[in-house]
Amino acid sequence: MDKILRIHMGPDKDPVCTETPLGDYAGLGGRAMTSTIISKEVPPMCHPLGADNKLVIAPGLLSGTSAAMSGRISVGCKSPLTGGIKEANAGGQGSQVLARLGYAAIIIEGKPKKDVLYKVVIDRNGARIIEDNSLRMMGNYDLVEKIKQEYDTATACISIGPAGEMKLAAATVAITDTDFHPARHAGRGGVGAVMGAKGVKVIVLDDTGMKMREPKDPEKFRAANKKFVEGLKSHPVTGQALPAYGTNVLTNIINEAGAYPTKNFMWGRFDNCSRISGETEAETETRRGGKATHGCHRGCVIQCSGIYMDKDGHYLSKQPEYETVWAHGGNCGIDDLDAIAMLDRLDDDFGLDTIEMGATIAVAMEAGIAEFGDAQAAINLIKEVGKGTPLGRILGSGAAVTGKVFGVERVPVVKGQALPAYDPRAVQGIGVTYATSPMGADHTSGYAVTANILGVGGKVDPLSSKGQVELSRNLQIATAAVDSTGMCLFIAFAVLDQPETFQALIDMINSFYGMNLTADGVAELGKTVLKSERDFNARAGFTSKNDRLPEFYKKEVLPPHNVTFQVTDEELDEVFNW
Amino acid sequence: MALKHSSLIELRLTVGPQAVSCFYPLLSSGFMIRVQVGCSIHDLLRDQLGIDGKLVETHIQTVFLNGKAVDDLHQSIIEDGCVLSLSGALPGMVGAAFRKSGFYAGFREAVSFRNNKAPVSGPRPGSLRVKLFNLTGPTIGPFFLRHGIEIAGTELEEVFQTCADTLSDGLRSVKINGRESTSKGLRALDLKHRSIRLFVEASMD
Repeated sequence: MDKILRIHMGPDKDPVCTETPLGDYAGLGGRAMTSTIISKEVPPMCHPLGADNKLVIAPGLLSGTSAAMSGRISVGCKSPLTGGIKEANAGGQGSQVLARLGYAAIIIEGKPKKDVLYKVVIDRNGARIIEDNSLRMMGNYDLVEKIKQEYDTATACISIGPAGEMKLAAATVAITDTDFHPARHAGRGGVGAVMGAKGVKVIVLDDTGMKMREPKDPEKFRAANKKFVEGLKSHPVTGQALPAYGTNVLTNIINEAGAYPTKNFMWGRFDNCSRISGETEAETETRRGGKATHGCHRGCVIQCSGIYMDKDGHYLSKQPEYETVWAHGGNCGIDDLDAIAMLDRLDDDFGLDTIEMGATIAVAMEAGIAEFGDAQAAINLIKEVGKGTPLGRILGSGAAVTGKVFGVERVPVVKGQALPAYDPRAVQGIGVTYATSPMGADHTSGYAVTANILGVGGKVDPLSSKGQVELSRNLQIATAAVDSTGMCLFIAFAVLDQPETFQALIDMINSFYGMNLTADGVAELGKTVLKSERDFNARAGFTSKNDRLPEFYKKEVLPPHNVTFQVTDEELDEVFNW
Repeated sequence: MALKHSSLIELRLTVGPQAVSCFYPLLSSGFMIRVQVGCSIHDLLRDQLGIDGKLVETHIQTVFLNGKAVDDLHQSIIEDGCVLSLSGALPGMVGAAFRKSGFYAGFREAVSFRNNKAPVSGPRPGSLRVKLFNLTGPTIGPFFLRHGIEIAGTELEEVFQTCADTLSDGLRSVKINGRESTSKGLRALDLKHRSIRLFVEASMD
């Protein structure tokens, strides 16, 4: 990982690939790499779909090594959904393969001078860009099938579906998984629209003949990795709950807590949630010959994913995640797991963010476009997006646009991005993160429950209102750091309870790079990343007024506990005062 | 809260160890139990259901009483008609927040259970609704099945249909309303519109 691939798409000349040394970007990975490049090289006031925006794709620091859980890939740009900086990351094989090919980042810049679609092929001989209009408006599933026939040694694809080609603000970048299904997505913020604006349909990766990246101190690295894996396997979340039920294990619990946003955030409980719970999902997958336990990339030991088969025992989709099941399920009043899996499949095929689309359909349902609970209507609406009808293009532009077009007041977005599956009136601390994250409403922005282990921000009183602000800040710092390593965020649960597992992670990074990183250094990395992201947003015109939840969270009580969001604006403004 | 007595059938089953899992889906959707109320959650689990204190401590990580997150099992009192939900460890930031006495408990302060230890009026008969989510089904579910759970007949009918083969091999003994019966007698029961008090014991084979 000692080089950067720059792909200049025009319009001054035909597309060209250039390899450059890392230069100032040496030592960066994942989110640290994407956000640093965007902050430094992209004019903040540029149009997200214009020639001045850049799409940066970066593996993590330990991707391409034998380190467990090291397969996250970050995709960054100025977001067409939020207008601010964006980093969306995904699992799948892309990160490992790209890192083994030696690239610390791919930067796609400029814009083609004509309406042409390209594919980029990267193998051990380098990168080449090829015009291929036969791929136009192809769904991700058909696309990777065609690519596999054409390049039989391809080991991963990074692609967009029709939504990306149409430059819709909810468009994703898809990454193929271990079964070569385009089922892992850098989902949030419309990164797929930026790839579409660059005219790149697919990046084909082939690491045949390339070796695993070698650590500076192989013996120490092996020992640290072993300890790290042992820590993950022995922890009840990473060793038991996630492998058994996946992230959807949360459905019953969040519902029980009255924090499960139902029918466009009108209620905190969904009566039929047990029909779509992780327990039911795992049982359905196993009964139909699918899998309730499956990894999205090689080297994953948590195996939180699964394979969802239809009623006839044919592959339909990967196991829909908790946020997907909520967005297309309870939030739309839908209790049919097969319909939700179909919606997940369609989203993946068209290249759409499941959270944004679920929130958007719920807003459309509130507007009367369809009835809450009508699964077939929801499927039809997603198909409208895939076809690119006028209604479909409105929906594919996200919840904020849809709410404006149809005159809906209750639109759950921050910085234009839809809120995920936890109502901030019941879980107020996560509301602080939704409001203040530079990414827009994003549950993963404050996900690394390692902040206390890192000692970020010192001791706080978690039960005070001020404590919630401090905790959110510390979580955001810790998450920015973990996102930069390329490690799956789910490692955080074992790290939270087992300091030795955290030390094993640090030891892995140090023995790989010959560094002396400490917990303080990790925290400092997180702060640096957040500062550069906040700085970009400020230069793009964002102020503290953008760090707010929609006002209905303060005004409308959430049954059954009848609570409203109580954190004040003044407290929210304290989040980044460090 | 209790199911109607007039239509109650008492069913005692002994099944092979493999067949006990057939009944776990009943536990996550919720069931009634008859207990002495007016005690703490901890005392209910340990003293009345016989669940080892260490098992409670390690396997029950998330607890809700009437939909509110509980932090202290000793200070939270069960009253007649309560809804008690138990879960193992959970992923996610919010999963960590709902963990009992967890570092991030402050995140969900608005829906936390306020300890109600003070106004105790002593143990008395009552009932509560219980839900056992995710891994608590296999770990502590058998204690509840031994104690006896009350469910709707249609729910049990669904279990018999889904697990027909497993139960056909695994059923060791049947008692219906205190009388010895057989698997044939069990199949002949009309469970619709009836309430069932179900006891399930695993045999030692």
